[in-house]
Amino acid sequence: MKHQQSDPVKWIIWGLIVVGLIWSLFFVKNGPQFVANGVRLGSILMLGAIGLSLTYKILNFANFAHGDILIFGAYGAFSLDWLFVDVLPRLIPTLGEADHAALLRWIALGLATVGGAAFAVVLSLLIDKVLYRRMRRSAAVVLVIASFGMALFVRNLVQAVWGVGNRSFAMRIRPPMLLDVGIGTIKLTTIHLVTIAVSLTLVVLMHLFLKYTKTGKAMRAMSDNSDLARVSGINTEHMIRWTWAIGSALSAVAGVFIGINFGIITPNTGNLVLLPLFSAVILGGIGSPYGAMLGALVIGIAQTVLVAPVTSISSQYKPGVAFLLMIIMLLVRPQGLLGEEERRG
Amino acid sequence: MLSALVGLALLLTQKTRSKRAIVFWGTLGVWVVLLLIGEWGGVPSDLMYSFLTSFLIGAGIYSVLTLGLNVQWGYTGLFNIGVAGFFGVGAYVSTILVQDPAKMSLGSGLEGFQAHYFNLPFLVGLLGAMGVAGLTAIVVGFATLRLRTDYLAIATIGISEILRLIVSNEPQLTEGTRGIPNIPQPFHQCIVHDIRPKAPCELFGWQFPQFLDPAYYNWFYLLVVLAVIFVAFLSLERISRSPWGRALRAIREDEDAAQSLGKNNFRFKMQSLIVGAVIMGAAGSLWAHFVKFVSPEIFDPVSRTFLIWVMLIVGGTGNNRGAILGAFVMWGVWVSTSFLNNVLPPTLNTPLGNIDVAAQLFGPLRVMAIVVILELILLYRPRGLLGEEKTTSTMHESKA
Repeated sequence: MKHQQSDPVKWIIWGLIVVGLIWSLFFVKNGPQFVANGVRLGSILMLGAIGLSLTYKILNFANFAHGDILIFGAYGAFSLDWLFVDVLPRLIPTLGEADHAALLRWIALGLATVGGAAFAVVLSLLIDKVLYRRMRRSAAVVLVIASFGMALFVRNLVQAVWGVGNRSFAMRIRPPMLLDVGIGTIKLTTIHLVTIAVSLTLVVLMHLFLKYTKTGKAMRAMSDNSDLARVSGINTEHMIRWTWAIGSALSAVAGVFIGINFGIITPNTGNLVLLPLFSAVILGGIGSPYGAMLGALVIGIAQTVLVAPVTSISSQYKPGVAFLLMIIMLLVRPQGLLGEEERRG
Repeated sequence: MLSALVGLALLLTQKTRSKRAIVFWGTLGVWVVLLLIGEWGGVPSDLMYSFLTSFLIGAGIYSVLTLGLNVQWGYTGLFNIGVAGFFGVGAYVSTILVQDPAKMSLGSGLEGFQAHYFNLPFLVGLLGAMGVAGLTAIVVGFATLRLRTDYLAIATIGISEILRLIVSNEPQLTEGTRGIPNIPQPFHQCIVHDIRPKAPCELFGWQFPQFLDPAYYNWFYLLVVLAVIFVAFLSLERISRSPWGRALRAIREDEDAAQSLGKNNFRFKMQSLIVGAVIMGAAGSLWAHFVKFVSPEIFDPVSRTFLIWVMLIVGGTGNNRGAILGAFVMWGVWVSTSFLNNVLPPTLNTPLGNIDVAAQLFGPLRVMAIVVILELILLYRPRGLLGEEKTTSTMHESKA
């Protein structure tokens, strides 16, 4: 095995990222604001990308249904949120006239998010049990076709249950607070702060989980070499269930954050977010959860900074930036920033 | 509907080689019988035949798409789930090349179209569509074909999404989400007589007889589609038995082995991706001139990518006859299930409230049912209706 101590391409990419960050902070009009928005988007994508990266490495296939699991969880949370905020106060009148309505809404949203994550976990475990489990020994491509079918299945399930229209969470957007950071002011609302804080907390917890718990260590062992892990006594089926559970729970939280940050969710949101998620995973290196986090941040900031300040470009082109970065990355360094040597099947 | 049922029933039975003919002629026979029943049963024959022609044209265009996917997936194992991208780019390029700006707002009442149109013959549009689809394939392939096949999947789904974004957001090029109406059809003004007097159509000083009733134009278009299928099918059959086709299958089965025998895998995969994309582009062009309207909806992943995958997998991956058969069977399922919507109750009263079956429930349930069919085939009968044929060199066959 050759060691890659000095890999110029890798350092050039790192350099470009740093230069890009400095450029967008100091030389773009309203730069700090866009960077903050990018960090917000990036931290949402991060939650989705971790699950995608884990399933990619541990089950060894690109799960095209991930975005739709995400939106299924978000819709589940939406229904619970509606139940807590709109239906419950009608049954218990004292809840409705409380002075701390805002706090209650946050508690409702938190509970709903946990519930939505549980929905997503149940769904993905069910899909695994019914479908993917029977295909463990099939070629990876068969699994990819199956997951592509499942993506459409879940998307249409969401459409059938919740309809095609836009849905929004009950959370109200409050007037933003202004933050002076020296090179400009940033407008941030509570929603933005909670999004970033919760995402980062979950990511840190994820890191601690992978690093220190027995299950986390077993999962890392499996992603390195699943045959070797099985030989050394790890219950691989159990680990696969853990992988699905963690991936879908995190993605459901990402779905809820998409809902409260960008106002609406539609059944197609999962499809739209899939491309940035894959870009993040590839940018960071497939199979590396830390790579996925880094990739998500880079994609989030790049999507915001490259498109938003230029008014002549439609903001719908954001996924285009992700796609462009992904293609460039595949050309210059297909194993990603933190990934290992490329494997070819 | 019946043909679809027969096809699916046959899926579950084990077949010998001689039964393949039964599948093919059986499907055809069911259609003839249905037509005769309709004829005697008093269905207005105009309606029946116009339905039949548009069904056959639709199935034909999807056959072309499935043939294209068969080159990529069936022969070479390239995982393209952005069929919609190549199809849509073909449709748009052909439309922009062929559209007559003077006819844009005929009857639509819309004013102020922004895009440029070239008013060129249909054949130029078809070739342009094929060319641009091929170029798109080069872009995608260059980045991903050296890597594992999942990367190609991600990149193709990406490019079809990006193309959809571009056509929806660049009204100067494509009229945006409004779409382009009144796309001219090949030879329409030359062979169809119309109520309105119009300019005679002359070619090399020869006046075309405008003999056809507009209602029967689709019969002529069916011939055009059949011609494209015929050319594509014959050349693909020829190609798959050539050294090139064998190299592709070798790469599909074992890339390292193929490489160790001195095959340039990247080049072969790229060629296969381009050939498939060119065929898909042609299908897009045919579709645009058939429905006479394109909009960003053409990049719909369900009916333009997923359905084609189901067609190929049902028909038999790696088999061109299977690809065409699968396209006809699944197009039958797709079209006939859309009639179910007329049979089902439009709304459903439940304790939770009214459910709008026609608008909300039906479409998703149909897609879910087709997904279930696909997953069952993947699990229990991965070879499809007609499995892959044993292909030998044409030289070998002539000796035998």
